[in-house]
Amino acid sequence: MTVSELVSQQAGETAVQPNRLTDAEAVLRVNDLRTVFQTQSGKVHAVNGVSFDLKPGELLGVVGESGSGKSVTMMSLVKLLPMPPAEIVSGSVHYLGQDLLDMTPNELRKLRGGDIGFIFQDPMTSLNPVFTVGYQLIEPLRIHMKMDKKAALTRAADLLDLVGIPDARQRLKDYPHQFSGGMRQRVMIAIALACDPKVLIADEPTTALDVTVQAQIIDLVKKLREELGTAIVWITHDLGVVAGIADRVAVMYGGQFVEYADVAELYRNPRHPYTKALLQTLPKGGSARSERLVSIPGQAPNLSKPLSACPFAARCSEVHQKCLEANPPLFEVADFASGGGQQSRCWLEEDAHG
Amino acid sequence: MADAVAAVAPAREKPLVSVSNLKIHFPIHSGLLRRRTGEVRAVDGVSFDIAPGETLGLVGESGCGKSTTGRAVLRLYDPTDGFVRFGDTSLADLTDNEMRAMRPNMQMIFQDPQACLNPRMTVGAIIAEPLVEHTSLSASERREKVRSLLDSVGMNPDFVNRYPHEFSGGQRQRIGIARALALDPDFIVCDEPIAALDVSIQAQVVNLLQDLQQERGLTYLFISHDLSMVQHIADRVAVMYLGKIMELAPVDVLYERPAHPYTKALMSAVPVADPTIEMTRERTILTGDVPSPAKPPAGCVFCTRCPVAEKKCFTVPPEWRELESGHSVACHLVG
Repeated sequence: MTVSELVSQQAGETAVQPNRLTDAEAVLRVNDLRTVFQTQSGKVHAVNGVSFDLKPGELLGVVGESGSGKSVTMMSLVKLLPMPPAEIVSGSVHYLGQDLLDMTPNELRKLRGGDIGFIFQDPMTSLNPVFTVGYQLIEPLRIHMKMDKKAALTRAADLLDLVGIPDARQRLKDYPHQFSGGMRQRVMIAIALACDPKVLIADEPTTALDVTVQAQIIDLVKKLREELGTAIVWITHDLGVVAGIADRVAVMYGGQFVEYADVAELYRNPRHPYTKALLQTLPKGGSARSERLVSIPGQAPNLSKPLSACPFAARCSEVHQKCLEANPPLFEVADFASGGGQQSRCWLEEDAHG
Repeated sequence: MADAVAAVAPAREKPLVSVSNLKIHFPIHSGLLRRRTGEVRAVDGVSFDIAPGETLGLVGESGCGKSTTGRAVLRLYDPTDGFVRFGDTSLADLTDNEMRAMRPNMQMIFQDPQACLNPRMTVGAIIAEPLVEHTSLSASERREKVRSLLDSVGMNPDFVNRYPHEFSGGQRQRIGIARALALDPDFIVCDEPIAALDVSIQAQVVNLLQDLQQERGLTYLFISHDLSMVQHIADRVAVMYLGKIMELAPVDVLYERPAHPYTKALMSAVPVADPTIEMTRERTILTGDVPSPAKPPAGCVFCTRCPVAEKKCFTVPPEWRELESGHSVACHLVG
């Protein structure tokens, strides 16, 4: 505990300490997480101080463009990154009071796939093609839940049934290539749910799927949340998907949360210029065909140095001098305790709220 | 000019591209002797017209045959049956040499800008390649043309000597577009041109495609699974399922009054970036997966997933009927 207190004190940039949950209330508490990659051509500061809490049964949507650090952040939580080149330079990740980053590899392995489940984007590359789906489903049950073979088999069939795969018992004997894309993703979800995880991290789980299958998966996830009370982090670049399922949304840019808000508030009243721009790029249904789409000029930021200015400044329509001089902290726009909370990492908030 | 393009009454004037009962079947060989044991009916009787200057959107789930249709229209596949007419010419009748002479009129933009550019060629060489093949321009004229093409897709002409890996995804897609424009085509098949790009970049590429259409009077077949982007760019939209067109209508009609149960389900599956709408709206969630195109269901191809299917749907294939001018649908239960 003392270590994490020390770290949060060192994190001087958190000018506003958001009203955080305690260990008792939250399943996952992430504090000032920073990850750096050491590459041949220098360092890449991929994650630059991410903090959030996750309550049981809550769904946090994380949106951002490719390269904004969404996946790396969530992989860092359970040290799923190759180290080196990746290095978690600071921060703490509390899962039910234990710091995951201080754990030994063995202790972590007991949590991963057990209490903390993962769903990856591409179901073809994350399932092992030479083992049957049944084998891959039973593996975590045998290891984490210490089930015997018969019980594990029954539970595996139940899980496949739960995610809506017909004729589940028979299909346990099939190999991944015998399933369609949507089915494979459901198998991935079944594996992730196998041991009743308290936290589920879903990294673009529906991006590779068709909209009709995506609708099925989203429907399934909603049911699972209600029935099992799993806390979920849902990474996506699709603002539409997040609108339908999330309780809170974090918008990532340059390896940090630039806006963090209640889902309704974020869409009704986006504060950060990047969030506004992202929402404006979506084509409006029914708009005249001659109307041009709004695009965000410029490129994603270069993260080879620690952030000394707002990473969005070069593309921002409301940029001013201060943006180029210092990276803004997360300003509190509205209080999370009162519902409809919202934080924005933009100097424009300083005048209003600072 | 935008208004002029929009005002082109769909399919009233002579179509630039006319597809009639197009079928592409890929043989399945199996067994020890690799005998032909069946066929994948990737495209199974598709008909549509595209008027000059028009954008026809082609939407559907993966595996429904939309890309195959796009390629067949350019005769990158030889049709099993049916024909594609470009202007007055039937493409299937042409010899290879005659087809080659037609190619400058019709071009393609591919989905993956990483895969469609040769990593060992410079941008200049990539864009100049069609000019070398199809024109008699001198080297200096080609250089000039390449520079002006780069300029017209919004890239710095000084980039000619760079390699594809030096560019971002959006820039690479612009290079692919510049290459497609090199021979001043009339018709471009855009096969998921924005699917591999980030949202902020998608808007840039779509704007570019629309600008080019206005400047050059291009005709597009725009293949995509992104229904909201198709709504933005297309004049008319065809909805495909399992190798057949289920519904074809002007864009406003299709999005406001979809008639086919599949179109309705597809529309309701698209997430809307507004939590209040998402909370309240009714969804039709289709169950199951698309059947294999090697064994399409008898009757209506959609009958296995259709929420309102009746007995007739499982046995009799529905006719392709016009509900109102320009709005056609293949369903027993509509109208």
